[in-house]
Parts: sequence; structure tokens; C-alpha cells
Amino acid sequence: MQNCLSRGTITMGEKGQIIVDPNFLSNPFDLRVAIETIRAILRISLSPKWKGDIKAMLWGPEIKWSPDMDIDGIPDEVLAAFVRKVVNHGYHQMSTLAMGKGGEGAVDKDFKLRGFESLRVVDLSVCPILTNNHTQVNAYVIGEVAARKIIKENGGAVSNGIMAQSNY
Amino acid sequence: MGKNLTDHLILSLEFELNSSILSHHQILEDPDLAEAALKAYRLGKNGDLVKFGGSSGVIFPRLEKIYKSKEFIDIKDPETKEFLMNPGRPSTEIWFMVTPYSSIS
Repeated sequence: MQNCLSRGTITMGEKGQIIVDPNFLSNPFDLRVAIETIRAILRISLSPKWKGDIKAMLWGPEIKWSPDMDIDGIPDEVLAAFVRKVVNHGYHQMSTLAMGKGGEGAVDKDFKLRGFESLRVVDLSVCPILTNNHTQVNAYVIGEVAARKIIKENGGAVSNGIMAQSNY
Repeated sequence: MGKNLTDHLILSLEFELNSSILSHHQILEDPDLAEAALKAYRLGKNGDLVKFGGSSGVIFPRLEKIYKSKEFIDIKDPETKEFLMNPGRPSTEIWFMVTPYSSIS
């Protein structure tokens, strides 16, 4: 799913333990996206291209899958129940030290943690929003931008070429 | 600090194309099948766990119904609405995978 509006937290417990509360589906919009995504998947499963190839639905909401089913007629609650049962994280958790302008945000535009002299954070936690792509791309860009800033600040020369080299 | 945690949430549906390839849940929810699959893998990197067809495509569609929903209309922040309505922004992401391990949840 993309563009989730729910926001969770990372906090520290009394004994120093890290508590991650993803707070998934706390915004009703996210549940709507999940429900309509399932409808889209079901629609694809009924596409003429798949006709005869798909024999059955093995895992999904509590409905009877059949080639002539009425997808829009499935109650939202039936799809929502499945979403709540199975929804999982996508290994793209981030944005907990979001960068912000004008004194806002946990880090400034130079990746410096506000309130600290010279502590920088250079990872996906500084992204204020989660973009519509694999986060590996964001990680590369963040690393490159931060590297350029740090090199420049320390009197080094930075070429205009792409610094990051992928092994793929 | 520590706020604003977000993610790309995932869920999956599974369909049978060929009955010889078992689904993630068929294997996991049957202790005998799960044990046999694990044993075959450990013995010779074989069995149900390695019947992998691969990831065959991904789409980032716009689902217009979402923007007419009560949940979208109820969003109070105009900037958030504008962000979501950007014509280049997909509504969701759908992967197609052919494997017993296509499913994460």
C-alpha cells in the first residue's frame, strides 16, 4: 500500500527498552486504500487474460471467489476484517527523525540533529514523507547528498558526477 | 524525535494456478506439509519451498474510487489532500508473484 496516513512512534521504555508502535490503520483512509486494493486484486483475478488459469482463491477475505462474482457488492466490512487480520509491515519503516524547514523537524537541512552541536543522522529516518518507491533509492540519495555536504564543509572537492556506485 | 513512523503496509491474496504448487498458507498451516517441506530443503535444497516462479510484475495504479470515498473527503488537511491527488501519485502498489512464498502475511 502507498501513502499511508497513519503515524506510529518509537519510544524508550522505563527499563531502556525500545518500544515500536507502528499504529497501523489508525487513520481510516489507510483502511480504505487497503479495501480498494483488494478489490483491484480481485478484479485482476477475473480478467479475461487469466480466464481458466486461476482455479481458486487460496487465501483472501471471507468470500466465495468465482469468475462471475460481484466485486463491488462485497461489503466493506468483509474486506476490512481480512485487512485487520493480515496486514503487515513492508520493511520500509522510516521518518522518525524527519527533516524540517524553519526550525521545525528533528534534523535540519544539513542532517544535524537539532539541539546538538555536531551530531548528524544520515539514514531513512530523516525523510519526512515515504515516497512511492523502494526505499533503497531514498537511502542512496540521502547518503550522497549528506556526503557532498560533509565533504564541502570540510574543504573537500565534490564532482558533479554521481558518487554512489551500485553493485547491481 | 521518534514520531511520524510510517511504512508501506503489505497484505496478500493467493490464487491457485497449478495444484502442484502449494501456497504459503497451505504449507504453513499444515504441520506435516511444513515439516516435509523444511526437511526436503535441508536435505537437498529441494521440495515445496523451492518451487519458485518469481516475481512477474508490479503495478502502481490509480484507484479513482478512493478519492470519492468518505475517508478521503474526511481528511481535514488540504495539503495532505493535494499530495494524494497529485496526478502522478499512485493510490497503491500491487505485486504479482508466483511462488509458495509469495505471501508475507
